[in-house]
Amino acid sequence: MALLLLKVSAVFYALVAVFGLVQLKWPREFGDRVVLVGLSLAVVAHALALGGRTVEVGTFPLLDLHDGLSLFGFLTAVIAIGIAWRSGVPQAAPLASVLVTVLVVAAAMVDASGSVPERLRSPWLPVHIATAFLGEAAFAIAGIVASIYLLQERRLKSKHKIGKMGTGLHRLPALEILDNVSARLIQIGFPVMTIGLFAGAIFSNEVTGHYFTWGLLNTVSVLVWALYALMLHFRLTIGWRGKKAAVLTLIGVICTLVALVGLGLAGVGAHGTGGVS
Amino acid sequence: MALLGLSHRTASIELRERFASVTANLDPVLAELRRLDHVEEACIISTCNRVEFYIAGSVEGPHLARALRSYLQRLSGIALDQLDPHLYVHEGEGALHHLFRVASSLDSMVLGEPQILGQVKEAYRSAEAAGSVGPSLQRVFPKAFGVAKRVRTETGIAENAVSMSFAAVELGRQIFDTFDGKEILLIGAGKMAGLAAKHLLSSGAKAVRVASRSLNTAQKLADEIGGTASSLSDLPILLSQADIVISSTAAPGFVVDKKMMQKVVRERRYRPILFVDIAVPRDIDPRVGDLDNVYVYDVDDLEKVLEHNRESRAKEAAAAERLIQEELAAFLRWSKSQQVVPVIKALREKALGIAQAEVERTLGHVKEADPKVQQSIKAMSNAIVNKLLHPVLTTLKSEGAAGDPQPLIDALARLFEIDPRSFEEPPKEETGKKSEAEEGKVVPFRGKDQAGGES
Repeated sequence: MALLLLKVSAVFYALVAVFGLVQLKWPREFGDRVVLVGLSLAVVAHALALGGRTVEVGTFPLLDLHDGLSLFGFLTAVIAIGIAWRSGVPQAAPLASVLVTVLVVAAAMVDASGSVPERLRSPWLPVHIATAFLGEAAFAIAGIVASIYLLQERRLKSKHKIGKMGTGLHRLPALEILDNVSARLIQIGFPVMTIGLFAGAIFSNEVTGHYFTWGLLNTVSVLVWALYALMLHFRLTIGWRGKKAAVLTLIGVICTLVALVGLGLAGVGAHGTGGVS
Repeated sequence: MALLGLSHRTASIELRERFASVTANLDPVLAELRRLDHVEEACIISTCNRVEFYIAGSVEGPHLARALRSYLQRLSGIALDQLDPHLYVHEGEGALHHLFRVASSLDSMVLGEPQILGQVKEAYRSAEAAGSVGPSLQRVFPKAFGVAKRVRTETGIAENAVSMSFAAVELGRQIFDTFDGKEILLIGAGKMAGLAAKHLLSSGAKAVRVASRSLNTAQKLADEIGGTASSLSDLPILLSQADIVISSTAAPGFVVDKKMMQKVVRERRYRPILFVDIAVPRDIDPRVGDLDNVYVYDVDDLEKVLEHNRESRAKEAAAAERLIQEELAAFLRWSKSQQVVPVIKALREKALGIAQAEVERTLGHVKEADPKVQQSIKAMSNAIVNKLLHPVLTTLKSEGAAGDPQPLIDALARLFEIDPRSFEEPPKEETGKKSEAEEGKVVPFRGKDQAGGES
């Protein structure tokens, strides 16, 4: 039942993604609203799927890749709705829908494990996974907004494209908005991610006796965390912003996604270490 | 009459800069133009979007154009084969049509923008002051001013025409979330820049600073738009505070270069800054735009921004074009009919001269004719002359207005034994309607400090 709901939400996401991309290319007056409503419907279906999964497993279903990808997609979609609705970056919704579609379709294709093994049942596990994914989702949307920034920046800097600069419905948000939204997402995502890392360390210590091991995901997580820490630092101290910040945001997001997908393809368990699989 | 020119439609800003700088000092160029073979009159319209040479002389347009073409090669130091693709040539009627369109702002970057008429008037005034305006240009330019006025009042083309300021705001919106609290810096106290600043202020911008080479002119503009004046030497500090910079100085070189800006960018903590450079030659080194968070646009870029804006005014432009065609045809008709004016004058003078001489002679014989009779005889002789000449003059006039009156003129010269050279005196300026003649008067244009120019 939960899987069926997940597949339904995947279809919704895919439809929203296709419509959203069309809307980006050939905007219609109410197109942005249609994308937003469609995305919200998909999120509702997805929430039901997550709820169903919780009932199936009997606890927070947050252990394997299936649930991880699903939750990551869900949180990304929720943040995308917020950003598209309130922050004046409607273009974030279609692009996020594409990412979420990929995540949810991947989740639906990965076999879900039946239940969480007894020895891994610790309150720190859901805290770790929920906060880590929430942080990642915020970063993912920051990356999407950053890529819109780079597109707009390129249009504005390129002497050939300046005439084709979007007007009316084709208008992209102002650079200042994109820069601010992306920075704020990182400012919010960063402490959440930090909690996630600490919760993960505590959980790891409970299960394996080590706070930290040099697994792929651990290493990438810490590196990305350090990258964003530096970005926030420079933004506050010397007012660092704009193109370079956008590029680094994007690099961080791509690293994270590649690490996650890499793990998924390798078929390793959550961190490839500590016999968690 | 002939015209050679290059504009934002045909030439890049670099080429226009070249021409703008070699014609910066108008008088010697006008003098040189008049020294060309057959060229007697010259006027140069030089704005940031166009440099156009209008010449008139004793020969037909094509000859004039040829002489002018080779002169432009010498003047610019650019080979003709490189220059030719960017030059446009109009002769006679075509040149007239072009002038009407330019003055009416139909050839402007922003259709219907109001500055160009003042600039054409200014160009004409300068040529007049340099003594390079003769009967041909004296007829044509004032007429163009009148046509432009009609276009402005009778078509909707000038509505919403906010020219460069429109483009500046449009670009600002792509960079800034809002103009609230943004600071504007004007480099150079140009009129255009002032207009753009007003526009931005009405969109919510906080403050305007005006920096100019002369503190006086800066203060004048600052007072007008409610800003503060500064000296150009404070530029680095001003730049570190400003968000939107509109530059329009007449400086020959760059006022802001990359090195200066590199420092400024750090000082302003990488906050985005928008430069709108409406000066030709440019004030802002285009390489400044390579810096992150710095956006630099020159008049050519603004042109591209305004392209869509032009489309929306296409309809009004069509009406304006029709009006110009109408005016052109009327003017040409009038102009042709003016050819016969000296003929009519010569003919009447001759006939009246004969009549008068005969009356004098007759009255000399009749000793004690009373004044009443004398009066009657004089009136009678005048009436005979007028009645005799009436059909001749009517035919001449209608022929003059409709077609080519030359054969008739030649015939009359032979039949009445009038020296054809006395016909060559060109008609005096008189456009028929009084209001247009008044319009023709050149209104002295404000100050020199308006490098922003046509926009």
